[in-house]
Amino acid sequence: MGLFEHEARQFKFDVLREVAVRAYENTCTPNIEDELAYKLIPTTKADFRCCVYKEREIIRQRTRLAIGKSPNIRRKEDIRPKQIVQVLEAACDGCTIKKIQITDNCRKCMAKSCMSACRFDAVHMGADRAIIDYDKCKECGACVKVCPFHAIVETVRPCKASCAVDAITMDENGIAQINEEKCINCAACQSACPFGAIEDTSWIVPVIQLINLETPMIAMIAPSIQGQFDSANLDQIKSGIRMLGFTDVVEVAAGADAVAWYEKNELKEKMSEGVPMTTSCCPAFLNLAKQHFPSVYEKNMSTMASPMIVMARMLKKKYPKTGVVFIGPCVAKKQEAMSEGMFPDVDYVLTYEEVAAMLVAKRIYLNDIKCETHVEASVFGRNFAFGQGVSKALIQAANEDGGFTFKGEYADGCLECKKQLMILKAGRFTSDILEGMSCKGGCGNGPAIIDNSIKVKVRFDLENSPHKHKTIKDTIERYGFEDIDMHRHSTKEIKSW
Amino acid sequence: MVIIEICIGSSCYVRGANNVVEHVNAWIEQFQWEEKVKVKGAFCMGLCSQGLGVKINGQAVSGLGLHNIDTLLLPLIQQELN
Repeated sequence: MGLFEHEARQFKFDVLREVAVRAYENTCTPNIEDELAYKLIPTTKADFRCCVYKEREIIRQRTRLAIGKSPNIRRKEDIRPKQIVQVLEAACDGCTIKKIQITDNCRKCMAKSCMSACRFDAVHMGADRAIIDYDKCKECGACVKVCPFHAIVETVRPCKASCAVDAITMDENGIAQINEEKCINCAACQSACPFGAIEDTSWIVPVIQLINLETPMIAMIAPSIQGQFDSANLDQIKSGIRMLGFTDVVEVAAGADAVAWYEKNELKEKMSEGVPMTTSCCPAFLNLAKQHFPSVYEKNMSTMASPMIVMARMLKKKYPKTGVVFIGPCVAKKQEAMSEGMFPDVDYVLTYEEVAAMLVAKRIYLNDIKCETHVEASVFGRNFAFGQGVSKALIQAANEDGGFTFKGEYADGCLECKKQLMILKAGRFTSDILEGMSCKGGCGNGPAIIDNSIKVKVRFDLENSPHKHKTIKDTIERYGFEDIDMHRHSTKEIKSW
Repeated sequence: MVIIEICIGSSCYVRGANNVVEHVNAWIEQFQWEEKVKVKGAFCMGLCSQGLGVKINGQAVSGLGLHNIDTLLLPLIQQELN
């Protein structure tokens, strides 16, 4: 049995695993796309799509994305590093569903409000029920709202429905396209697509290449990794990742502790000025504000860098010439790592899926690893992984440092984030701080997680319960973040891109 | 021993740094440089504007691209070996 129930995600995983195997063996040939296409679809009978040729083409496109290239060969530019989320054109079903449909619930009633609501004369009454003239229908949805029997349904393509910034359009063949100006790389569409036709670019090959060249690299793990790999505990996960070829593995939760500690100072300041503040740790939320609510971004967003960046700066200061690779559930982090100018703080970002693929490629079984328990951060820092965790850490930090109270609001998921940012922009936000999480439930429910977030949360809480006494201050004193620049850089782009 | 550091940071990777690694590895095999040349991975050297980031014995190579790996890099390595 595979790792994922979602067949498309399993294929994605299989491709990543095969690419990882070849990268470790140094046998990534230019023919890798075809090799994997025939290896993974060896039969002549199509199981998932119309024919094996389409299935193989999808595998080819997945392979291109897995080696960091643009999936669609007809595009001129081969690699666009800033756009992480990409459409696999071969995998896109085109979802030729009619947006407005009349169901059996239509009673052919006498009010005929659907007909009078239609401004385009697209609804008329048939023998048994109302009928839509699709040549005239503009898909405005007016008839849907007025039907007293809810007999008219409006279906939006999952990718489009999930996109908070309206970045998805269709080309003339109905294939999804991403408007890169609008896209915030939140990967909501990636999670939503039932065909797995929208995926993230992977940096697995250069990372393994660096490992093969024995380049010193430290892996930083996001807090939500705890509980992802079945019953393996955090220390087993850390040892396993070390065995992949990293010099060390550290918890970003320590950086989260630091961010909470310094962010509460900023909150205090903002409160004294009477200006509400938003968190800045979720990169997609940050992109949403930056690209679509620039005034809020300037005025209200916390100037703290994310825990990932803070931790990376700390490590780079301690160990210059060492690479830093972040491992998380997040696709937007891949883009965040690339947007901080020259000499990036974080050299590469991998996801849990990609790390799992590397572990399988190296035949490392986490559950068999024997190791001792090390706790590098407080449970509050670790809790950044789940919705409202940032707020809880801020409350704890405030309590540990003199104590002050504030009112928080939590925005769960991209659409809710957008709503709250609109309220902020309009000046009608009544709380002191807005915690924005682009994924519903927080990072633990990110686009590149392995296990169901509810199961993960249970394991997470169980494993962390003995360490609740640790304070945020403990972490700050242990690592000494005083000399580290905690603020976001003005986002200058790398010139040569 | 000639040490060749090749940047495999994200900016260089997307511009084809792995081709440089492949070329150098092929030369090592072809010219039997196993004992003489060592390839190391490196991170951003701040040379992004000067082409692909490569250092030979600590000396940065300027103007390296996919088109001149053979004509620019190979002579420099041979020169360093002599």
